[in-house]
Amino acid sequence: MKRYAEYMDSVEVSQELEARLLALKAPKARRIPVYRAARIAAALAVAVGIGAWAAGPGNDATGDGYASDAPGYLQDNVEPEGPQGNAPDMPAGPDKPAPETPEDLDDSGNWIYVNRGETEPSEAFRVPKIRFTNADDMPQVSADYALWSSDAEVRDVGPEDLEAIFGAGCLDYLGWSDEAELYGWVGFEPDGRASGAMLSATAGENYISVEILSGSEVPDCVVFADENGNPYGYSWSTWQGVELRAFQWPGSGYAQVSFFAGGVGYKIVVNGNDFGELCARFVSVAVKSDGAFAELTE
Amino acid sequence: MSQSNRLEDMVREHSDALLRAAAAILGDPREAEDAVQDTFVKYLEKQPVFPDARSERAWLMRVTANACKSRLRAARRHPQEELLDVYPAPSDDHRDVAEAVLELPANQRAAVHLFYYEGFSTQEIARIMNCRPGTVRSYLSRARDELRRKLKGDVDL
Repeated sequence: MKRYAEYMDSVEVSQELEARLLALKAPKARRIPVYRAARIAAALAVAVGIGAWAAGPGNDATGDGYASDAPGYLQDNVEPEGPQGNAPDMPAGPDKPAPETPEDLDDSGNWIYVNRGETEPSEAFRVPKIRFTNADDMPQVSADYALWSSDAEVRDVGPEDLEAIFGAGCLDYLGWSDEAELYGWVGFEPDGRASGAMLSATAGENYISVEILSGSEVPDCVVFADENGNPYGYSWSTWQGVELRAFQWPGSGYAQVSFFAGGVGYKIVVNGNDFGELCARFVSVAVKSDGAFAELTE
Repeated sequence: MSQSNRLEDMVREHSDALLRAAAAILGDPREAEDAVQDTFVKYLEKQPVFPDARSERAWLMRVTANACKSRLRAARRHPQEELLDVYPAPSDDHRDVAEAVLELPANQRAAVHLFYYEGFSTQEIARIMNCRPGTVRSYLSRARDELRRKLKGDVDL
């Protein structure tokens, strides 16, 4: 690509553009209400590092960005750790009051407490205990899929959409504050129905992407098989009656959780040190949202 | 160091590279300039701190790539000016290669530019383009096939 490089070397910032750039001023800082500032401080104290926002391209069945050569996954379970303790639950979803006591929640025992911040009980949350398996040397088949049809109207997703879907306060709970560089799109079919969405966030070295599909599980772009050729050797967990299937891609540091709750399919991919907790927090808000995504308006 | 001094350093060090990446992705020099401007506005807003120069470069590229994506997703775009009209190629060979790359789909153009011109790894490009490393490899593979076809094998990949 020597000739391409030589050509690109000739593309330079003009004096006019340089002057324009040097004249830029920082936008005025937004006044943050005291309430939100306190919640941001609490979220930072819990130190959830959220990953990147991946704005996957492609909005049709043959679009790029959906198919992937993700590695397969094995049978070794990875159990997340967490301290135990009494704690109130996470923020409630839209129109759903928070349960009164932890006993009102999932009784399967498939949960952990996360308490990393101050010693105050209010800093602790209960999140799903997701089992991730590692994949290695498993045969795989790649496929494309679409989250919305080619007739869909697609628009950017903003923080207000996320709060409409997952409830007020969800951004702080998930750590998707302004610093996380949120990015994404949502597609609406001609009948106005929210069909699907792709969301992602980047924060430092962390990456998280979420795919949402109304009315169906989000397909996998790679289908894995075990040594006997049986498909879907995922590891299964449950949270409030919702089945979670999860695996870890070896070598890349990515982990994935898929589930179907409230008539909406979700797939979350995380790359980062806190992937277990990041997945767990998202699972808990998504399950609690009870399919609110399908009611999103254009 | 004052903010204006820091901005000046950033502009002088990175603006050419960001403009080239935006131009490669968008194919429109005016839109590319706007994308670069958006990048520096974001920089002034976020005031990020970087552990090293590579992280700084990667962050700026990611913001630029996102700015370009927003523009690409606007209602059917037609470049107001062609890149090669504003920045003419020095020879027919250079023009052929530049045209072949600019005719690739935007994602493949971005991957090609970031990999072959900027020298980022597929992992780094995945972070910049907010996709999976496997997807980046797929873009590069398809781009290479198409470039070989268009340039009749006369491309040093």
